[in-house]
Amino acid sequence: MDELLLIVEDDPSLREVIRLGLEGEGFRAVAAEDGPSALMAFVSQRPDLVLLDVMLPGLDGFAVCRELRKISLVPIIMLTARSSTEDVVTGLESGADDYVTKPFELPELVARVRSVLRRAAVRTAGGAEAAPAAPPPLSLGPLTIDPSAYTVRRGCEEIPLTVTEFRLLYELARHTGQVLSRDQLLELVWGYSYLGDSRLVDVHVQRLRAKIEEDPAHPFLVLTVRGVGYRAGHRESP
Amino acid sequence: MTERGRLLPQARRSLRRRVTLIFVAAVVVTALALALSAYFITKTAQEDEAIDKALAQSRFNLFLADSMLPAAPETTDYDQLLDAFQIRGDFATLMQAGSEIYVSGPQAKLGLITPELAAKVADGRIGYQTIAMTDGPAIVVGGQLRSGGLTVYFYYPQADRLAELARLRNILLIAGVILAVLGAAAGYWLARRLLGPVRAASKAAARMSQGDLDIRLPVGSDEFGVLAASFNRMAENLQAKMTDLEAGQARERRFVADVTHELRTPVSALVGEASLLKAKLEAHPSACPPEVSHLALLVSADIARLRQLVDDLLEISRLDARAAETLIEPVDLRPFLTQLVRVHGWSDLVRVTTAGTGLADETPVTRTDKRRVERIIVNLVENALRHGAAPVTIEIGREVRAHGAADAPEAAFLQIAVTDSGPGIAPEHLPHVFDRFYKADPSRSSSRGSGLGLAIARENARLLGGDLIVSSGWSGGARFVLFLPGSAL
Repeated sequence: MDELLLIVEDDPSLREVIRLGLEGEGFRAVAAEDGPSALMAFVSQRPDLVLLDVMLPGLDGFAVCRELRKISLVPIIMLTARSSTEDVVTGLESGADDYVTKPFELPELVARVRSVLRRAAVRTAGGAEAAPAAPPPLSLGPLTIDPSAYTVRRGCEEIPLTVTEFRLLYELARHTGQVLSRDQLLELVWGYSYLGDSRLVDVHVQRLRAKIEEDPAHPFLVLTVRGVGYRAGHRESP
Repeated sequence: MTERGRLLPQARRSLRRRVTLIFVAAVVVTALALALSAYFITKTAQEDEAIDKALAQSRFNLFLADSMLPAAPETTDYDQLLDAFQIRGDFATLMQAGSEIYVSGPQAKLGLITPELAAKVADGRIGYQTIAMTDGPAIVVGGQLRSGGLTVYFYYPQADRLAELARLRNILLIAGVILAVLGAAAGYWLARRLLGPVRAASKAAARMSQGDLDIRLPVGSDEFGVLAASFNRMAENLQAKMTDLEAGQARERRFVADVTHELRTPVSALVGEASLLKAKLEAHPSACPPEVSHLALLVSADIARLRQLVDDLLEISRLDARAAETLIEPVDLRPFLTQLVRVHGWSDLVRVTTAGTGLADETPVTRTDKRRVERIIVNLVENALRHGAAPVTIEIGREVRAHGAADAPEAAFLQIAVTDSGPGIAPEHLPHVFDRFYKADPSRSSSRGSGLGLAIARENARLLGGDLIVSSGWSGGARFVLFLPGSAL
């Protein structure tokens, strides 16, 4: 386990303690103190995961997140103001995979980092390593979902998904026709066993639909089941 | 009661009615006085005129008689004279010559003449009196001929004149009534007009007492205008004060929120540093002197408290600013609370039950915000374990609090009671347990916890449309009951 993490935090103490804490857990870490240097560090270092503070001087965390998403599918965890909806939803809509609220404790942060990296492990390790246990590809409507290569294709066109989006689609497709509650999805995709934030699911479903549905406003691959959760499946296409 | 009636305290004695009544009384008295004086002046003048006329006519008649009668009149002369008188026809005549009496008609009776008049006439003077004849009142004038021997009485009937007088009286009466009615209407209108501003002012004052500080009165140029201007100035001052006060409170709240917000990053750093320090100390117990390790542990514990305080301040300032959001979803309370107890490691201390709370086999389900319910229950259990004693019981049930409309579906509540086995809360502290930073025993200020836990719990309960109350349980421990909208299925 020697994944490289990029820590973007303007407060020097907090930046240092996060770096020390993550290094203590066996990760390698580089740090940046503002948006522009974070983008430069990302391009030069190619980290496996980005920890991104929302409140940065100049270019804020949301903007950095959107810039990163233009060039990469790298997992991103936001460090946000405490669970206020605007911060959380804006962060997730900007493309973050998960978030941690301040003040947080290191074990909590490490658990979030591990969970996201686990989702990405297959992809970063490459198809070969995961091959023996790799499950067969699934299909959902016009999509072919290959869990061994972490790819989703519509025909021969590959749809770029983040690891979290891929994992969400994969779990829904694996349970085609079955309704998965938000709590179930939080556990399957994000690894929360108790009281995860259901906004994570809702915002990621929106982002997923924007990428895979022909008309995201009238989805027919990932369907909402009111008051319960989500279901993958065919609605009769119009 | 009408809306306006409820809004305005009704005057018990209506000023408007009083003004109207006074006005009507004044008009009626004036009209009456005018009518009476007009009537009596007319009556007197008419009477005088009638008497003058009767006297003049009688004198002329007597003169005529003197010139018509021969020196020794016969009966036929008298009859002729009587006929001559009757040409005029508007009076009756009675002539007395010695014992002979000649009359022009049955109305003229000697018996109607009073002795005073008879005596006056016998004296040779002309006299008159008013008498009542069969067909109405009349003036009778008596006199003697200069030649003597013949006494003549003329009866002038007054019925026509009196009828005219009566007509005048009726006209005056009707005019008086009309005047009184007009007066009443005018009085009412005037009172309304005069008292309108008073009414508007009292309405405005009532609205203001109900908290509507935007109300203003129209300012006229009369005395009421001065009142209205003062009233408006008062309203403006009041409003300005209120706005100041509210702005001050909001500023204060925002300050607390900002301070807390600013604390988050350094507290995050402190929490991380403490946990790294602790991990290092545990990995290398002999690396530093025991007192340093001890201090490090104290620092780490204090940082945990500081974090708790910052968390709680953040939450309460968000609740105060009404910025707290809820994520409502269906929650089955029994498995939810059982899992909550397990996750927090309280399985040996806390028991979740539905016994004895009116729930049989039903499932208590509510649409609520899980995280907020968790927050409330965790705060209550921590409070119970900190100030009371284990075992703690969490009872889930249907609402049993006395409630007027408990059977109405919209008033359906579930209740979650958290009861500890400690000594309970002294009655004098019960009303204050939800106060911020309230300490039942000031000397025990070092008891863990931010002092905001119960206040936060109650704010959260209210945010969820429920409530949180406290009592001393039957067994002596403290009992907190959380009410949540919901029902058993």
